[in-house]
Amino acid sequence: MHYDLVEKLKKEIAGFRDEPALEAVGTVVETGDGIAKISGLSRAQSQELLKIETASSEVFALAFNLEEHFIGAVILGVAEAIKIGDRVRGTGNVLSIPVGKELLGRVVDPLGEPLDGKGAIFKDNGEAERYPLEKKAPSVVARESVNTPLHTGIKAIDAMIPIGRGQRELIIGDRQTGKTKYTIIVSASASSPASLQYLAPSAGCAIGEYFMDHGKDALVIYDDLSKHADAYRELSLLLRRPPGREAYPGDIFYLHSRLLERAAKLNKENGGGSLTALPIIETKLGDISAYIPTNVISITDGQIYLESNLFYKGVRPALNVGLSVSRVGSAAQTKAIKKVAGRLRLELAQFRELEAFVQFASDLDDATKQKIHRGQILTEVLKQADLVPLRFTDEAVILYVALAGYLDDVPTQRIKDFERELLDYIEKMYDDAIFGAISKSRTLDDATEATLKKAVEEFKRIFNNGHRTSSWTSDVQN
Amino acid sequence: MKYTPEIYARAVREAIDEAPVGERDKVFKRFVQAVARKGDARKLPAVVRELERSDVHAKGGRMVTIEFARTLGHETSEFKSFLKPEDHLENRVNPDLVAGVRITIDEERELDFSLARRLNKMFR
Repeated sequence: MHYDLVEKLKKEIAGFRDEPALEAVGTVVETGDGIAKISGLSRAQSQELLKIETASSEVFALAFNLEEHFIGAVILGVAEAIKIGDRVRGTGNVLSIPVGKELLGRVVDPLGEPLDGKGAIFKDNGEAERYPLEKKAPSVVARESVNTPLHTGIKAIDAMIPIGRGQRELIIGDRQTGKTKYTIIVSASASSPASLQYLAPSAGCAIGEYFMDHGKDALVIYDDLSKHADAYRELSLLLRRPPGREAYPGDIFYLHSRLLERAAKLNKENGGGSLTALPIIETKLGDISAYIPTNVISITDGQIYLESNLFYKGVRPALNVGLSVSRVGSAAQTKAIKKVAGRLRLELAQFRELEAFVQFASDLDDATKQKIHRGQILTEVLKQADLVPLRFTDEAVILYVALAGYLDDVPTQRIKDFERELLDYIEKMYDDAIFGAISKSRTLDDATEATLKKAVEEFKRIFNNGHRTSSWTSDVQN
Repeated sequence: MKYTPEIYARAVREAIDEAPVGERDKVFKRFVQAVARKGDARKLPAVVRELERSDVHAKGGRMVTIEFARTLGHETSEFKSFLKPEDHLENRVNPDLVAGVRITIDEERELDFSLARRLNKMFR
């Protein structure tokens, strides 16, 4: 080693001061299955972060069960390294995660460690702001009612189950019905230990809260809370907590309610930010009356129910209109969509009632036939491919066209072409007069409606003549 | 139900308190047999420790453990002068300390003068 370096090291060692003080300690008396039983540390707090000193490293654990003589702790690191007799120290801190805008576009584990191979997230981890994983939800005084729409870009949702910023809307359905649409930022995969799966939603919520507290509109998707409940059940059973219904511990409702209560729309005095929560629940064979689904349905402000049968029929998103509801979002729904989609739910409900008679269509009266035909058109219009969100102006135009009967004479298999080409046509010919006007006023006023009618009639003539997009402009100009 | 060493210790203490003085040996014998029948024989050392601890605490003393990195001679007895007569002192040799001494009180509080601690603080 270079002489200078040795001198520097000597200087560091000479300057190192370490005064031993009386410290609270505990001892590992039992370990296994990701759980440690610790004696001592009688003043440890619930959810306190503990440090276990193993022969090779320090492993963190979470104080989970505070018993008369022992602490039941959930191990957050390499459980195999922990041996009976290892020393344990309290940190005096609850579990927290480093937060900041540097996290955007990154994939992290529930402790904030990067998983995407892109290196350290914060230049100086010690300097990063930390948010606790468990935090009290904003009070009623700090909140305001949901008043701003959250446009998902999905016609069926924005029209019939509108979601507002700060709302909690459950997405529920069997497996493989199209519930997952966004990338997970905080990842605890199926192969992760139960402790990390248990912490992942709280970590995601803490990150979302950081953005909400900074006046931003954050959206957190919990994918999924059924697995979260399973992880919590596993930990609780290992720690010998008394099992209740379906072997879940008695406080499973409290676990989910305190997590979802942290979603809020803050008032102006508190920055005006919002945290919208979209928890996902996986049902078994469509049973939405099971324990965890009913719990989360009762906590949230509505649910979007995705049905396997519809999914396999090709109706995607496989939304069951009858069982889906948004309890607060309609107050925040954009007026333009509210105006055009007002009758949509009713018409679809009527169609569902009459759907069984489709095969006897020839024996039905004209009014019933018309209702069935309209229902089929609306079902087709509401189909939307994955990752193709629409602007709310596009949604308003398409829904208006469908509900005003302009699609009644269009063959079902050509509806998607009609829809795509109509939007293209309006964008080229009436962008400011229709899209611009709706976007600016956020409503569909009489003048814009008249222009829209004119545009649709023009387009229908071209469409029925079999012309393609490339020839529109010249047709209209001629 | 699984019984902890604390429950066993409490049970044997109550049994001893209630038994006539001449019967106490038999009580201990039956207790050990009962614990073994339950498959908890490995918990017996912990039960003994718990009994010691509760005895010491009842008298107002503390359980003090002193660990050294190597076996010492008469120096260990000097520590006794710092303690109350009611305190229970246990000496242990723990080579992991590298050098120095570590004092633990009631398995809850610790005063660590070991070299291992200093090295950990410097390099971890």
